[in-house]
Amino acid sequence: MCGYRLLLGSILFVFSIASDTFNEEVVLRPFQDGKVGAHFEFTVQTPADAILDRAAGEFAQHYDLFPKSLGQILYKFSVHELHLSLTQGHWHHNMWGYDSYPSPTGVQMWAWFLPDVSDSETKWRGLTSTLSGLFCASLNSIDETITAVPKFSFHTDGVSPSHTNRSSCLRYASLTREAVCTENLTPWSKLLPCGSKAGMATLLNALKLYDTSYHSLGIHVTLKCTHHQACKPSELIMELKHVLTVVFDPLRHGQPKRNWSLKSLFGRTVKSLCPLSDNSTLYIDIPPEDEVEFSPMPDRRVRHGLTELAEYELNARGERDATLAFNVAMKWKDVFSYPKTPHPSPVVAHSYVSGYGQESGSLHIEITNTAEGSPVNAAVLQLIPWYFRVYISTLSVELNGKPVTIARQLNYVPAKDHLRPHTLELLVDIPSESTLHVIVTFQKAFLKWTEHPPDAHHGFYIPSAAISFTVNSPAVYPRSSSSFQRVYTEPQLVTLATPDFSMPYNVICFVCTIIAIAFGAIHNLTTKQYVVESRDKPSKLSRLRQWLKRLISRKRTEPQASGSEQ
Amino acid sequence: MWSQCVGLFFIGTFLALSKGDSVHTNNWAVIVCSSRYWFNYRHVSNALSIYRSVKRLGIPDSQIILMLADDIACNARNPLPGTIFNSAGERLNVYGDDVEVDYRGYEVTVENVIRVLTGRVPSDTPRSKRLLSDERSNVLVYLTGHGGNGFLKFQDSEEIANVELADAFEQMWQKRRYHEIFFITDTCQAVSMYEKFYSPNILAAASSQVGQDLLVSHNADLEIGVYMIDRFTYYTLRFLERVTPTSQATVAHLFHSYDPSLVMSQPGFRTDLFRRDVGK
Repeated sequence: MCGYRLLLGSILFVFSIASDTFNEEVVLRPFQDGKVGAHFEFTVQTPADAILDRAAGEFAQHYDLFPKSLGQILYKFSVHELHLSLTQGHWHHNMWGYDSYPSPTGVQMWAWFLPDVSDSETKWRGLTSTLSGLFCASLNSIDETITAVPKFSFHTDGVSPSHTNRSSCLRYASLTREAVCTENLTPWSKLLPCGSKAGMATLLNALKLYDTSYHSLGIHVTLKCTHHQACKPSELIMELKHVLTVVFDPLRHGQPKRNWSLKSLFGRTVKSLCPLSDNSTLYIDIPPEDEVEFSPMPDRRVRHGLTELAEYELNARGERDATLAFNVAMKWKDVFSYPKTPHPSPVVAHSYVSGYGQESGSLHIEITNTAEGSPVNAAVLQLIPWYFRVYISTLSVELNGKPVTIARQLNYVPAKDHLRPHTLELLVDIPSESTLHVIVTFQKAFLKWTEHPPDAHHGFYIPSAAISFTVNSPAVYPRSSSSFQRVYTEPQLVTLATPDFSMPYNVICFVCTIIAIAFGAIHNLTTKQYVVESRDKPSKLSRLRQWLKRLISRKRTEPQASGSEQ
Repeated sequence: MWSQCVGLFFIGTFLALSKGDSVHTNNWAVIVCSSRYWFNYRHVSNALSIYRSVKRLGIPDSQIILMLADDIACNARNPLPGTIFNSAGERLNVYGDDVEVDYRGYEVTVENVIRVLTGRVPSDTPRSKRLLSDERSNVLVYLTGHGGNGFLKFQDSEEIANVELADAFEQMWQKRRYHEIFFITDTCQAVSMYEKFYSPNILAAASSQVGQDLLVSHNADLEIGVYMIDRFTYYTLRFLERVTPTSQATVAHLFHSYDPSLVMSQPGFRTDLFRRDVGK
C-alpha cells in the first residue's frame, strides 16, 4: 500500500518537473573618464511552487541548476526575496552613469520574509549566520544593533506572495567595514551551474578583478511570474541572479588610447561554453560620438532606449567551433582626452561629516537633480549607529541653500543603546536642476572599554545613505530591473573618543609599586607596639665628664700593662 | 543451541579484536592566524602555507577551519592585490584562487578558537564553522602570531594562555573529539605553548624555545615592503611541497628536516604524550 503510493507520487513528481533555465549575459561599457565597466549577470530560473508550499515539506523542491544549499536556506528561514552584495570602492555617478544593481561599500543585505512569519528577528539572525558560512563573510555580525526596517525605500522587486509590501516583513542591514576578496568570489562562483570552469565565468580572474577601483559581487533571489499578471502559485518561478560588476582602467599604464580587449582586462579569454546555459551573450556599449572598431565584428547591433549595443552570441560560436577562444577587442580612433564637461547622471548624491573634536558632529547628505524639466521624488534612507546620538530636532532640509519644511513624509526610529540604530527616512521632492541638503547633528557617545573593536583607533563607520527614486525617462541606461533606481553616497568614517587601553596595566603597576613601598612602613606601624623608656636621659655636661674619665683611666692602665711586661 | 554458541564466539572475538584497534577515519585541520595589520603579512602567509599544503594533500575545505584575523590579500596597502606570496624569490601565491576562510577579521578571538575546539558554538553557527570531529579524527591545530612565554596574542588586544589551550584539548579528549592531535605553533617562544598539555595522543612541534624570539622572518620583498613568511613555516612548506599523497615520508622526517642554522631558532618537539612512534 505504502509502496504503491510512493510509486504514484514519484510518477507525478517526474511529470511536474519543469526544467530550470540558465542564462549568461555580460555587458561592457566604456565610461566618459576612460574606464571600462564590466557587468556579469548569471540568471537561473526554477519553478517555485514547492518553496512556497510549506505543507509539502522541505524535500519537495527538486534542485537542478538552482543551488540546493541556497534553496534550503531560503526555505528554512521563510525568505521569498533576498539581496546580498559585497562591494569595495565607490560608484562614481557623475562619470559612470547608473549601475543595474547599485551597492554601497561593504556588505549590504536585505530580505523579505513570507507574510505568515511571526519571529522575523530570529529568522533574520539565522539567515545572516547561515549565509556567513556560505559566502565566507562576517555576515553573522549583522545583529539587531545594525538592522533596520525601512518603510519607504524598498519594495519587493519580484512578486510578493500576499501582494502587499508590508514593511514588517523586510529587514535591511549594512556592514561598511567588510572586506571582499577571492575568498568571497570562490563560494559565489561555486553556486553557478558550471562553477568557474566553463562559460563566461572563466573570465573571472581574481588577480585582475581585485586590482580595480570598484568591484561588486551580488546574489539576488526574487519570485517572478511567468506571465505579467498576477499568477497562480504553479506559475511562479524563483529567479537567482549572480551579479558581478567591476570597473577597469585601461589607461592606467599610460597608454594614449583606451583600447582594450578581454585578454587585456581579464587576463583570459572565454575558453569554453557552459553546456547548461541556454543563452550566453556579450554586449558592448557603442559610444555615440566616438569612432570605434570591434574585432571580431559583432553579430548584430541592437538598440536599448537611446543606447546602441554590439551583440555577440556565444552559443552559436560555440556550436560552430569546438575550441572556442573568444576574445573581443575594442579600438578607438582618437587619443583619449578627459572630458571637460562630463555628462552626469540625472541624480547624484554625496554625503560628508562636518564638525570638529570628539564631542559632536553633523552628517550632511547632498542630493543634486541635474536633469532639466523632470523633478524627482526620492526616498532617502540613512542608518546611523546607536553610539552617535542624533538630535532629530536639529534635522534641517535646505533646497538650494534655503531651508524648506520637511517635504511629504518623515519616518524616524530613534536608536536604543545596544539594541537598534537610528533609522531616518525622508520622502522628498527635488525640482529639476537643484540641490537638496539634509543635515542632522549628533553627539558622540563614550563606549565602554570592552565594547571597542581591537583596532579602535581606526574609527567607526556611518553607512552610506540610500536614495531611491523611480526613473521615467528611457534615456537612463541601463534600466534598473528593480522597481527603484538607487544611488548610494559615500560611507563616513568617524573617530570616537577612545580610552587609553594600556591604562589597566599601568594602574596595576602603579598600585603594586605603592603597595610594595608602603607595605613595610604600614606593617610596622600596625603590628609593632611602641613602649616608652622610663630611664632618665643624662645631661650633656655629665656625659662629657664621664667620657673624659673613661679616657684618663684608659691611659693609666696602658703604661702599667707595658711596665708589667718588662 | 550449538550454532548460537558458535555465533556468539565469533561475535565476541570480533569485538575483542576491534576494541583495541586505533581506527582513524578522517582528518580535520584548524589553522589560526591571530595577528592583525599589514605588517603582520607573514603570519597570514604562514597560515595560508599550511592551508595550501593540507588542502593539496587531501583534506577538503569542509574539514578545514581557517581563521585569518585580517584581510591581507585585498588590503589597500597590497601592491599586488589578490595575492599573498611566501617568499621574494619563489613567489608562490599561497592565497591562490580557491580559498575559503571560515573566521575572518574581528571573529578571530580567543573565545571563538576555544569554542571551535570544544564544540560549544552558538546554535546558529553554520556547518562550515564547526569542528565536527569525532573520536576517529586526526586534527591538525596550527597557531601563528605574536607570542611570548606562555601566551599567544590575538589581534593586539587579548591573549590565549597555554593552560587554557591545554584545558581545551583535555575537554576535547573527554568529549572524544579527537583521535590524535598534531599541534604546530610558529611564534616567539613557541615551546611554552605546548608545555602544559596533559591529554594523551598529542604530538606537538614549535618553532622556537622559551627565551628565543622568532625573529626572523625569511626575507622581505622590496615591492611589498614587509616580511613575507616566518622561517620555520617556510621550511615546513618546503618539506610539504615535496610530499605527495602517496609518499612514505613520516613526521620524524619532518622533524629532522629543520636545520637550526637556517631556521635561526631551535625548534622544539614534544612526543611524550603521543602513543605511536613518529618514525612510522
